Amino acid sequence: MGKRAGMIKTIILFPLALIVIYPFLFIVATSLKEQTEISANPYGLIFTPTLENYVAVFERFSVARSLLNNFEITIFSVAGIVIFAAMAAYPIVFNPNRFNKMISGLIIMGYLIPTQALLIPVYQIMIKTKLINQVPGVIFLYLAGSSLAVFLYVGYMKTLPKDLFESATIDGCGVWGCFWKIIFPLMTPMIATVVIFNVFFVWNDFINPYLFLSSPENATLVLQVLKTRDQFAVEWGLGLSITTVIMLPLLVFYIFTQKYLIKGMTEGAVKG
Amino acid sequence: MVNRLIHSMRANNKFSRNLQFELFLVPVLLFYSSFVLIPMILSFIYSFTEISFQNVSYSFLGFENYKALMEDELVKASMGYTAIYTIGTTVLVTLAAIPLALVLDSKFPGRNTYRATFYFPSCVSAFVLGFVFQYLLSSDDNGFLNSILINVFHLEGIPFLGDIFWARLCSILVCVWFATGWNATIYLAYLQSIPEEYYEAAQIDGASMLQRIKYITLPMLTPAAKISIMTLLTGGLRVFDLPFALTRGGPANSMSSITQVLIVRGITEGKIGYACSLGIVFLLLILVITLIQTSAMSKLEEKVN
Repeated sequence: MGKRAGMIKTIILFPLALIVIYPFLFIVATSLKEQTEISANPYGLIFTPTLENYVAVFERFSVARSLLNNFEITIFSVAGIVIFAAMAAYPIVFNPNRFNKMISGLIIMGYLIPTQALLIPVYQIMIKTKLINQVPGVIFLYLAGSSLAVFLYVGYMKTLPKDLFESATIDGCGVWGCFWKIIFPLMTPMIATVVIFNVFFVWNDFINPYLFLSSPENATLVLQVLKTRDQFAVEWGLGLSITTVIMLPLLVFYIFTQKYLIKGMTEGAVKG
Repeated sequence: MVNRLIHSMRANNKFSRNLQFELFLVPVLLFYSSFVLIPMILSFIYSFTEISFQNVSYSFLGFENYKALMEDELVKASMGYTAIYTIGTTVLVTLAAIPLALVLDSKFPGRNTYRATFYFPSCVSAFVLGFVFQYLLSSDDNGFLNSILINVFHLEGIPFLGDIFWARLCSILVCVWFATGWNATIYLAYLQSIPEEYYEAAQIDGASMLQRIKYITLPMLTPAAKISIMTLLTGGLRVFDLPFALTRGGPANSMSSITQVLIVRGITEGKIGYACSLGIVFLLLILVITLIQTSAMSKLEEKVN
């Protein structure tokens, strides 16, 4: 009985899963089709594959450069958020005074503020500071969005035993050393969560590169997709091969982190 | 004398310790104030002035910008679309995510593969997904859905992205397609935390399956609903990528998001003061709705427990 009910669920879910997965198969398949094949057989999954589109986008759209930009922006932003947010949580938890409580409220408030609402003055600041069209400028914007990470770290740091910190201080560990030698390494599970969420967010982000990285040599992959649509709307293969280039590293990352991802989401959710 | 010296040394020590601690806040505060706090203050000030990229004078306007917002057809259209999209996605995703989570919580062959499959779309950028669906929903006979309608069912094609009603509906359904798995995972996390004994006790008391769902599962899901609905509401109000990728805000501005109007008025047209007033309204709207929703759900949580 139980077994049969289980099989029925497997069968009922199958078409749903197919609907979820088909667009991804469509992306990869189309990217491997010749233009004539795309017009003749746009949705089929059986055909002779070719790398023609990939060669074309790497030559015509400097996709290699964009891929590098994506890696650079993601690595520096995520590393910055991981370290700076943990640093900010440290005085909030281990040196609680009125000032730090106020600061903590102020930072965590940032989670509720829609950053898009502030676009116009941010745009003005980016122009005035000459950070517009510069990769570091966009990285700074992501670093400004570390509210959720601070919030998660504060929650996790509060669960650490207080005497751990006190005994380390007695042993001669200073404020600085104590953080790097004891507290930060203990943050590993939360670091994993913060890394995973921010990697997906930064890698996929559209609006910040769209507004603040308009020159071709600084473009990210998502902007290249937009460009193929504006210039070669009929040649699906071009845009969809860049899409595949965007998704492939994410897919690898997803496979390796899926376990932590769902665990982290639960922790983040339960604490939120 | 000695006492005083020791006292001042201790105070000094405490001061330096505090200072050392405060230094840890510097990096986050630096970026956060440059790109969030200061822009927020500037937005507020600008929203009462006539400042633009062409005109740097700060002539004070009072509430003129806010009044003009109410007359702006594009602003009205974006508010309308945002409301429809937010309500539509919140209701439909919630209705789809809870049953999906209930099924994914039970034991059956291939469960983990299914969980990973349903979660995956939320890992990919909404802009990219919109770009792909723009092909799949293309209004000409070449679109995926249209070619099925025409060739398999011998029906007429539907202008999925060319007609206001269909385009808005499609944007909502694409969101349901990619967000359901993510939200189901939140519900799933809470379902897994329900102790097995609750169900056993209910079974002994002779509760039917529907009764068990009604009296144990659903009340236990309220905290999950609080989070899931909050992310859906804020995500819906902030929407930009998806309608922009699908139709660039068309047809006839029917899918312009608030963010898109902010960019058009503020950056393309350079009306800084005016766009900032829209930004402030947008910010307050999100804050108020989030506060109402979380406090209402917290009350509900107390009631069911």
